[in-house]
Amino acid sequence: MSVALLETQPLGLSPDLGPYRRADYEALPDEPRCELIYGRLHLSPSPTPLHQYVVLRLWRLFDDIAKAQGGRALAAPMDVYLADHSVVQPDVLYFVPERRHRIGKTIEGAPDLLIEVLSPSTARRDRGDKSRLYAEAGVREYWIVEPRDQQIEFFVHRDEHFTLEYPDGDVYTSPLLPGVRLDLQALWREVEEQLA
Amino acid sequence: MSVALLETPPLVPPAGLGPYRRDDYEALPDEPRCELIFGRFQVSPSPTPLHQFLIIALSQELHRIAMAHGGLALTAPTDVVFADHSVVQPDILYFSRDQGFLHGGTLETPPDLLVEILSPSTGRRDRSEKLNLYAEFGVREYWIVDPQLRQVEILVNRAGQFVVQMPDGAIYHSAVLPEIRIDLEAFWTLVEARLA
Repeated sequence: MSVALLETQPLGLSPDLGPYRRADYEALPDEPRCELIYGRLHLSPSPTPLHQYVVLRLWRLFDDIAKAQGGRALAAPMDVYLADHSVVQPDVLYFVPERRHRIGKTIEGAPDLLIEVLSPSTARRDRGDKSRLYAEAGVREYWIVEPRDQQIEFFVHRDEHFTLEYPDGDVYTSPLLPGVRLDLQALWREVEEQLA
Repeated sequence: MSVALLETPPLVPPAGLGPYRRDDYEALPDEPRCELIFGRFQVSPSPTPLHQFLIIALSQELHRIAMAHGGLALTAPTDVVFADHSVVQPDILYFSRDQGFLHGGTLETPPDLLVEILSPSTGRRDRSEKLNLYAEFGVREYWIVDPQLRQVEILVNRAGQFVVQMPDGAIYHSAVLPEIRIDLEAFWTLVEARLA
C-alpha cells in the first residue's frame, strides 16, 4: 500500500477526516514513526536531547505520582487508540487508578493526562489538531511544554473545552487529578543543570 | 529614580505585586520601551520585521471590521491602563465600540480583544503574566500569534479564565464578538506568499 505521509502540518486545522483508519495504521511498517490524526498520517521527527530529557524527567515525576496513587505512567512511543481515525503517541501519558484498565495489550481510550513536549516541527500539530482531538476524546488534562522558553501551559477539560489553569507561584497543582503536582522552578533548574 | 527593569521574564510569575505603580511608569523616559506588569517593569525588545509585518497585516483585518461596525482597532505602542500596578502595550487592541477614545485621554477600559505576536524573548511573558492580567481584567478574547508556527491560539474569557477556542476549519468566527469573522488560513497563506 502506498500511503501519504504528512511531513509538515497544514496551515489550518483538518477540515474533515482523511482517508486512513486504524487498520491502515496497523499495516504500516514501524519506520518511519508516525501518528494517525483525523484520518491522516503525520510523520514524527526524531527528538532532540533536550526534548527527550524533558520527556523523561516528566515521566519520572508521573511514575512517582502513579506509585503513590495507584495509577500508571507511560512515555512515547506508545500507541493510544482514541478513535478509528486517530492513533497517537503522546510524549507522556498518565492514568488514574480507576482508568488503569485502559492499558491492556493496547491502550484504548483517553488517558487522564497527556503531555506533549514541543519540537519546532510538531508544535503546530500539538497546538492545533491534537489539542482539538484530545478535547474531543475527553482527555482531562493536557500539558503543552515549550522547552526552549521553559514554559508549560496547563489545559484542563471543562464543558468539552480546555481551560487554561495557572500555577500558584512555583507550584502547579491539578484541580482534577489527585496527587498531580509540579514544582516548576525545580523542574527547569534541573533541566538547566543536566544540559549545561 | 533608579528602577529595576526586567529583561527576561522570570521562570514563574512572582508572587504578589512588585514595587512600581502607574506614577513611576509615567515618570520613566520613553526608552528603553517597557511595560508595567503587576508592579514590575518588563523591557520590550525591539521587534523583528516579521513581527511588525504581522501586526500590520492582522490589525488591518481588525481595522476593516472595526470601521464597518463602529469599533476601534489600534496597534502598539499604545498604553492601556489596567490597574495602578499594570500599564501594558499589547501588539493589537480592538474595542467593539469606539467610546470616543480618539478624542484624547488614556485608554483605561480593557479592550475586548487583544493580540500579542510572540517573539522568542517575550513568549513566556505573553503566556503567563500577561495572560493572567488579561484574564483577570476581563479582556474577552486574547489571541497569541506564533510567527514561526503560523498559528493563532485563540483564548476566550469565561468568568476570569481563558478557554481554548478552535476555529471552525479555516474560518474563525468569534462567539463573543460576533462581528469578528476572519479567514485565518487565507491570512497565513498570504503571509507565506510574502515570505516565499
